[in-house]
Amino acid sequence: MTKSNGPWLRSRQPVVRGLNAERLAELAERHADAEAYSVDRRVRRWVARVIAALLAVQAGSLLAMTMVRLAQFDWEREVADVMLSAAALDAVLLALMLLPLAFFDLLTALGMWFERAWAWLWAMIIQGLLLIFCLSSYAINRRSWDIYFLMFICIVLVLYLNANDVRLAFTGRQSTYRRIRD
Amino acid sequence: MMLDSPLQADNRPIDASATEQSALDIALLRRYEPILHFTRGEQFFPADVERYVRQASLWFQRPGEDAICVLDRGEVTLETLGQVDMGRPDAIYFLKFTEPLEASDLVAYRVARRRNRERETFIPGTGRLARVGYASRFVDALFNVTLLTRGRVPGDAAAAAALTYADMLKDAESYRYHGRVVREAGWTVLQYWFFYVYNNWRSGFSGANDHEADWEMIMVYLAETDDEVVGEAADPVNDGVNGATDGDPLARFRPEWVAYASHDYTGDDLRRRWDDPEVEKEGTHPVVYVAAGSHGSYYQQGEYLTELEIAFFHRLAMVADVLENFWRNQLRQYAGDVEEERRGPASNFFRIPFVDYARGDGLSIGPGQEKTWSVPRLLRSDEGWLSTYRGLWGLYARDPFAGENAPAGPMYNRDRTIRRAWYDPVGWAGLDKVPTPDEEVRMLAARQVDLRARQSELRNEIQRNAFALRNLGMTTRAMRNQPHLQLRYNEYQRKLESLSDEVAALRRELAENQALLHTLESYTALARAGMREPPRAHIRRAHVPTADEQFRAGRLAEIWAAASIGLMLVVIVALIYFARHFVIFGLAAMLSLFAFIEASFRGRIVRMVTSLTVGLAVVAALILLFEFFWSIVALTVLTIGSYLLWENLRELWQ
Repeated sequence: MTKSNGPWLRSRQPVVRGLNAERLAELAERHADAEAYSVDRRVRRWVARVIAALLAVQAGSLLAMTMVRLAQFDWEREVADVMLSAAALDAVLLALMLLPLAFFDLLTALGMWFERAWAWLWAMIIQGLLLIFCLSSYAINRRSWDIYFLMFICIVLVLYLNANDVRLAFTGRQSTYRRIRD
Repeated sequence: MMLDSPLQADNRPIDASATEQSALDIALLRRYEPILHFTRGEQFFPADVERYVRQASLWFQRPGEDAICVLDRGEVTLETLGQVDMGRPDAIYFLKFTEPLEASDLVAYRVARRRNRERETFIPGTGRLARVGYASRFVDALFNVTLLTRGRVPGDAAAAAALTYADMLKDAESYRYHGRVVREAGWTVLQYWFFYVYNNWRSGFSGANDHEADWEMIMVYLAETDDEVVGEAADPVNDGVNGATDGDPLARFRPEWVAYASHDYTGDDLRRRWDDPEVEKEGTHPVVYVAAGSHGSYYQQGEYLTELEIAFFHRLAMVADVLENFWRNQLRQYAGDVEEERRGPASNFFRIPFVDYARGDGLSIGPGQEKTWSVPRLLRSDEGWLSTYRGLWGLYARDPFAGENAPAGPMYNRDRTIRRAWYDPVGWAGLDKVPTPDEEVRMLAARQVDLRARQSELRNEIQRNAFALRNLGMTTRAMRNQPHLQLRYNEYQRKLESLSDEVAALRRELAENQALLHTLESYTALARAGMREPPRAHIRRAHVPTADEQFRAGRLAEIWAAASIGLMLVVIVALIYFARHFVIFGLAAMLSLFAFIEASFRGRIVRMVTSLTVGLAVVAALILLFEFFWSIVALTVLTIGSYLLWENLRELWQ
């Protein structure tokens, strides 16, 4: 038997010969559960991959923001001076803040792609941190198109992550696992 | 069956020629008298008002003046209380039970309490502050601060009351309730009033208030039944539970509902049907779990988180309720989360949490218990001490929030208005819209007769109007396109529309009545067979004890809960004093850290992160909407337009 999902279960019924009614009923029940599980799993996989793609885009945006900011300066001259200028220092601090977040974003995107349960919470935490960064920037009048773009991606990701089925697909599975284990 | 002799106000038994009604009332009261289970550590139990009054003195006080003694201790009796001239409208009359203790007496009392620790000491569970969040703790802190400024009973009052009550029990140990029987709207209501000499909820059990004197009450609602109406075997639920035997004058009464008073709650959520599994009973005696200190009455044993709303914060509390409801139900933040759905809504930020400990592990009073009831005192509205005396039954502490002031008697509120539980016991428990079972069957039959008559009228009216409508329609069609009849045509057209609407309304009423009639017929058949709706169908929000897992907090969490608000204030002062330029940042960092610590103790990190992130996303969305409002509008319109274009082209293609 192959191990593909849905279509296999729908179009190709397993051949059963020489089995009694009880065994047939058991098999039918197992296949029904498997079918439901496979549909659920397929939906969850699709959703997770969309979120992973968005996280990857977000990581790319963070990298791009950092690179653009850093590219504005002549670093040879900056380093030659005793101290970095205020703007350059600001850009360095920004890089120090955003690059780790971009890295974790990528990791989370990978985790989400492979449907790891921890990826959901990490994604939420990163969105929270980025939103704090965006709102702080907005509050101190650092209002540029990249901040707005980042805000927009965060909002879309939060909406997606907070959707009932997505939340249940990741956090609900843990509850089920805990109940079964108990 | 022998009926107990009732007592008059002066404790003389009513002689054999006393009205049958009083004897029947007492018999009913005794048949259904409750069993009270108290919490270990409770010091005050139901007592007779006469004994209390003899220990008290009577005072009155006008605003801005000192209190004046009207009758000294030993001079006050129920009779004299009923003769008090309440003619000073601006004065507050009150009884005073306790006198200040000598220091030596207070010390002796505390020592004696410590010695009896094993038997009598109350062991608190998880601190109430550990069960709620920072906002509630902050409001609680404010509330405690106000205790320093507003009126409160003296600190030794609880000890003094305990000593005096202990002496009363030593003289003659008795436990008595005050009973009243009211017949209203077909119901026979048994009111059991319990009088406690002191309420030590605050000083004894970390509750909201202390005050002298405490009136509590439960009610049992009986219906007189006629087996022919409901059916001989019709009431499988109550069948045999009224303890009746052949020839028993009480046999025709069936208990249908109970209602336990708890703080100031009223309405449907207070009452339970007699067959509700939540109502524990021993034979015909309902079981009541009495909260320690506050003496509130509960159906189940446990610890109840009660929220006290301060009038000042009322609007804020309502806004918080709306936001919580929106967050939980509209945004469905916790849908599918088993833990959160079991926990239920968080306590309101602007209400102060207190715990009612109704554990039932202390003394029990009632039939078949370690202590039994004395013959009850029958309450009648015409008794002077009940109706004439409208003052407070204990110390007037001059508390503007009224929590520390003693209550008035069973008939009156503190503001001298009559208690609803007294003048409308049926409506107080929301039973004013519920007929008795027999009355229900009769009303159902009468309603069906009325409906059938109405259906017959409707059918006749519809027939007449439908004929007129067809006539009018035909005439109107004949006049169409006749210029010389245009005016007439317009007039007929208007009449046609009007009559058509009228006939449609009549037909609709006929159809709805038919459906209603069908429902009533089914309902009547069920009622006659004694089958009823689920016993808890009327309850919207039952007050249930806190589940064990909801407040399983470690010692560290409790210490944190107790210390957090004080610590927060210290940090705020330090920030303002030492780092003024970073106050905002510091406050944000502090609040985040405190929230993280709290969430860790409660195992709610995920919820905290989610809530915070969603909140930030909402703020960010509002900012984007503000900054790019017209762009968003334009984009939305373009998107809708493109979608419509696509749909229409697709339809055309198909």
